[in-house]
Amino acid sequence: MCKNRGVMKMPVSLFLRIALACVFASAWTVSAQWKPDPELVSVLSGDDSIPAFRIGEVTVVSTEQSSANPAVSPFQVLDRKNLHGLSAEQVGDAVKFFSGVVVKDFGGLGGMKTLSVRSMGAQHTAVSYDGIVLTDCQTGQTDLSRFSIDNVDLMSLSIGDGNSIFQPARVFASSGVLTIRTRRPVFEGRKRLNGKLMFQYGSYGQKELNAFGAYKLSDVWSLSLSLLSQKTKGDYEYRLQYADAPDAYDLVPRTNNEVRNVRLESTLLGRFGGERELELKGYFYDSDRGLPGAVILYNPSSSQHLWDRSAFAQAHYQQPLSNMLTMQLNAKLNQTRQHYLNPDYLGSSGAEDYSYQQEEAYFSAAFLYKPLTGLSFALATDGAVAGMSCNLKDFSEPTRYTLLANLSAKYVNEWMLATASVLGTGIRETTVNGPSANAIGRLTPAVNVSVQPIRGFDKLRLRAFWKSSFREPSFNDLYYSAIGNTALKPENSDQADLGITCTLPWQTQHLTFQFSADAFKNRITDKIMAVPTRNMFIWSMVNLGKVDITGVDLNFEATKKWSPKAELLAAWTHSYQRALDVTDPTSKTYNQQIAYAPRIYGSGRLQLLLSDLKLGYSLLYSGHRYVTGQNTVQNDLPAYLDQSVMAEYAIPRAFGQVVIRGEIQNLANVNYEIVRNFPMPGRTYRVSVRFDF
Amino acid sequence: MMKETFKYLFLFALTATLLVACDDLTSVNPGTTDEVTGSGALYILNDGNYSLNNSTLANYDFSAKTLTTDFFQAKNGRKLGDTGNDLQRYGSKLYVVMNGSSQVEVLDARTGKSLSQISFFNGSTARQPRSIAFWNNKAYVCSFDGTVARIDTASFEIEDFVQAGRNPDGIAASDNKLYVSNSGGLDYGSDLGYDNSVTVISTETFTADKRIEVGLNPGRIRADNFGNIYVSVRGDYKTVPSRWVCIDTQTDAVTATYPFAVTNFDLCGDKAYFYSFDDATKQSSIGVFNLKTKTVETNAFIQDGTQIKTPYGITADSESGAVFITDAGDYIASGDVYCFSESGMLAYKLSNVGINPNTVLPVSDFKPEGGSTTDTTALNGIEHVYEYTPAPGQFVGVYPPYSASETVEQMRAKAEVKLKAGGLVSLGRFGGSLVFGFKTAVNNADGIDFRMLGNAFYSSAEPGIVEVSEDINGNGLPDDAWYELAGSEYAKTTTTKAYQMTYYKPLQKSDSVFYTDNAGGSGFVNAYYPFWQGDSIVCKGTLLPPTAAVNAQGFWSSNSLPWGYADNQPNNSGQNGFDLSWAVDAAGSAVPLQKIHFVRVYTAVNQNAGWMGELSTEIVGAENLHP
Repeated sequence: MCKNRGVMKMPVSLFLRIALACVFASAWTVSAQWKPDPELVSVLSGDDSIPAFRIGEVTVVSTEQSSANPAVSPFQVLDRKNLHGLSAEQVGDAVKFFSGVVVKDFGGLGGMKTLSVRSMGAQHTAVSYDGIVLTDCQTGQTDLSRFSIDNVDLMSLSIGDGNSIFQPARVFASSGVLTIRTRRPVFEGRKRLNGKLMFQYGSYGQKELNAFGAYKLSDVWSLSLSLLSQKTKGDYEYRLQYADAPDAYDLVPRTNNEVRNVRLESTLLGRFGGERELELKGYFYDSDRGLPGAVILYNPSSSQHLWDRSAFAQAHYQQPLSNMLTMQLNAKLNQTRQHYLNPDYLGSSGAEDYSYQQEEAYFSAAFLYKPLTGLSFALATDGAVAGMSCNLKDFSEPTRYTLLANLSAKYVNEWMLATASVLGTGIRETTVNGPSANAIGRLTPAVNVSVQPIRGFDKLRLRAFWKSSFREPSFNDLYYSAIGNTALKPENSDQADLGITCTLPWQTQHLTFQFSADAFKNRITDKIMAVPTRNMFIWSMVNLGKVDITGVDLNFEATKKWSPKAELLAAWTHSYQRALDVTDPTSKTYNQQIAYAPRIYGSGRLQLLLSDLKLGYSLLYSGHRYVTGQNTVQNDLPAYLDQSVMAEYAIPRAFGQVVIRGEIQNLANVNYEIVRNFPMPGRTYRVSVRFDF
Repeated sequence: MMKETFKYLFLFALTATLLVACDDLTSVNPGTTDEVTGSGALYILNDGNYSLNNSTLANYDFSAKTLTTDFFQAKNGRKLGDTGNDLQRYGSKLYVVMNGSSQVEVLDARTGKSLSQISFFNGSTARQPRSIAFWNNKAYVCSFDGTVARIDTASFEIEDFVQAGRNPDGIAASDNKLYVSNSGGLDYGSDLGYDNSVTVISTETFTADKRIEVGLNPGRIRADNFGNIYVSVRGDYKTVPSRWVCIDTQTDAVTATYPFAVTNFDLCGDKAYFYSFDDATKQSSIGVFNLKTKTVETNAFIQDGTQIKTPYGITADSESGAVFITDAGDYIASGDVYCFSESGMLAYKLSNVGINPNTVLPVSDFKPEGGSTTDTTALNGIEHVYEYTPAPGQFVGVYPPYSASETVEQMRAKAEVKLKAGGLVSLGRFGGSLVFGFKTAVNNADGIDFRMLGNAFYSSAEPGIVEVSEDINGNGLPDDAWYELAGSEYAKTTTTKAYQMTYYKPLQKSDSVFYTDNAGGSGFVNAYYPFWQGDSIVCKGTLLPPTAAVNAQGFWSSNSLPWGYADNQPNNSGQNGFDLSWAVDAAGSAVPLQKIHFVRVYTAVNQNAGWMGELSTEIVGAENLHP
């Protein structure tokens, strides 16, 4: 029957999948060459008194971690060293290496990538960029294809509340948080200027220029500037499978898949001493891409196009007010514009030509109070006003007012770390046209604890957390022409997790093993989904679904370090998830795995780091999945294994070094799909030359 | 040290393998387990889900009792494609209209093999074809881009395009004209909104001549046998309600707008079967409309309490009278097909036929791979029709179709073509007959010597008596002595021998038919007189007692007789064979026959089964088992 175009075009909450995570991470084994991120150290140690943004004098932290990770909830990290050992281009590629996740990847440089943690759906994952949560009220989710990892220092995924209670309230509002930390100005010795310049070429016409420069203006102020310009034709060949027989395919190039991106970012950092600091950041992103669409048999036409432009400015300020009290202020102004064009639309207009615009103003104040040793409290209050307009007929033009207040407590002693928080959320909306959504007022609690069960033995810890949260309906869910439903309630998630972490150093062999395992049970209720409510052509959003998710996440990492300049790292994650639709016992999908959720998913990484040479091998594997909630053979999407390799060689030069790098992604040229009829690229080569100064 | 390393590596590999091996996600197989009877096969077209390329053409083979959900792929080694919207038969071909893939597939109806794939592109823009209709050896396809394409059914080439209105949804053909319903569905979000018109296109000039306003958002459109076009107008799903509209093809004007909602419907003889479904409330009603009296017969067609969650397609089969209603469920999981008798009783249900089933098409001459019991085109099938002399009946002039001024010989030839292709021929009321022969004589050997195929199914027997004749004079014509094959009822006292009825030609085709019989009876019957015949038809033969009765639920049901009659037991029942040793003469004495050359079959009951209409023997083929 007729496609329902609204649903197709709009990233409606489709069930994503899977799960997640553990603790530990390579930050544990920070090498002597690497300057660790103080925020990370702060999170891991659970010491909220270390300012998250302190730069500068941080020198080398311990080279080997010998005790078990005390994180109260699963926490995984990929730092710059790890990221460079992957053959990942975008944040959306790199997050696939976390356990318990499913990245819904539409393929190619321009294909949308969203992150679902433990099968709760991408809208339950918050993405924080340099300390402030990114928001997209229109879709409620963040497209991780928009962030290149070249500029990223550190990425972490935290499920449940992390150890750090001194954060804006918004960070506590989601089931999981992906934190992205970009490269910041750091200076060695008397050098006032440093940076890099990189040129990259890749298969399918990819060309990229990447530049970063940091300049020390004074003892207080420093400035950084980062630029990315990339384009690709993206015409990779894929197997157009016209029948189920394995050899029934044609090799066809993907068309209308070209992408052109420009990103410009600048940071002004002021450090005034006494742990008082100010960070101002400006961000601009402009993108122009073809939307190749689903591969439709016998119909190769594809002409849809998307232009994206977003800009934001954000500020962070932190200051101790007394010995016991610290204050943190955050603010952000954000604007995004999207222009969608379908020139082959068969309606009378001859084209679908829609422009969407969103603005948001956000402010947060947080206070940390440490009355006693080991005991601390934090209070964060956030306010935001967000609006959206577009040229759809009779569009509601909603404005959303959000008020968040989070109260947390934390207690630490030598064998225990516990946090508890309660988040209050108030949301009210107004519209220019038509009805507005119901107001939301909710309290959502979380409790987290990590203990060392054997007195005096710090290699082993147990942890547990319970967290209740929800995601509010997106503007698309509420107001999109015909599809939207202003009567929607929030979609709830409840998470319970029980985990173990251990660290086994083997000093004589210079080896460290780390292991974590978490068993979890989640329930999603009032799941927002699209169903036909007027007729087959017009679907709209309702709170209908109920999903039970039970699973296990395993993380394993081994590091062997012969010398400060010779290191071998092996990491492996594995997840098992039963994400079952328990909505309606009479339905044909009852008790079956939800769409696009594999039962098993995992990743592996192997990295050899020498002083001038780096070699990396990585793999991703996924069990088979189903494209809809009915687990029939016809709906099966096969399992896949995707392997990549990289090599990097550094040549010292007077100004710094020249780094030559090569990557092969999807080494075995496996043709697979993550989203049905959106083929992933086959074997892809990339080479780059980088000048570090 | 190396040893240790290998030990750990081995342990790691083992663990990894075990964990990867514990992928216990397995597919379910919903399957079909229902009891299903019928002849030939059913084709079922399923939309699938947009952009998933999972539109399928399913096939249920009644003789093999198997459902092949992706029959198209099984026969053609490739998938059907995306979003199949319409499935129709013309001659021996099936036409499948693929909206998402923007193609029309032409298949051999009997085998499912693709004969042609016709592309619908305007440059690089997909036209998105939607529905198909046929007139005089041309196929007409309307597409979302506003065009109607004319396809030659011999060459499968698109000959020409003509512009209709905005986003046509349906097309119907009647009286050298095409009627295209313009939905404007793709403008629903704009100021323009839905369209409200039907475009009339002449098949002779292939130009859009007229535009008829029918109401907002017209969809399904069909032509009846009485010179009318019916179209469902669906409104805007908000304030403008759904309606059902009738257009007179003589004047091309709207003659009636019925004040009830019709989401979808199909026409069959003088009945329209329609349903309305409200996605918001999930409420549906299924009704029957009399096209002659133009009145609603019932708004509750289903009599036995069968519940349909999401009615999605409705097809009435004029050959068997069966009404197929599809259930799309939640539009995501595989849907079901329900088959009802004309009286609204569930005959069977086929489960999990595909996602969003929209059309059910019975194909009685289906020819499964390797041949089978329903293979009516084998060497041993009907070779020649000598006489086709139906009595009045509701499907007389429909199977095969009669056009004004056609002759007795033309109608005989049509019946012959139909039966050789496995199509259905209706004999009308008592005494209507057919005389045919096989390629070779039928020899009297042990057991059953030949068998007859009809359209009988559960509670729908329409028994016909079979007579045979040997070509004694060798002239190749059935002008020798006839002997009745005595069936289970022959010797019963309720059976009337040498009964005779005379039917008189009415003035108008739609008028009732006057009759007299040799028992002194007379009256009128509601049936179509075979207008190609003379002013009266005299029918003689053995009369069986009425077989249809009102059952416990209050509905008409016609039970099968034990043996020895045509169109009495389902084709796959094994109870439709005839033994030449049953032959008797007029006096009731057994006649030993070595072989026969001619077979005559006539309707042997004289009964009206309420609104099911009269009992009328229908023949779709025969098989010589002892050539």
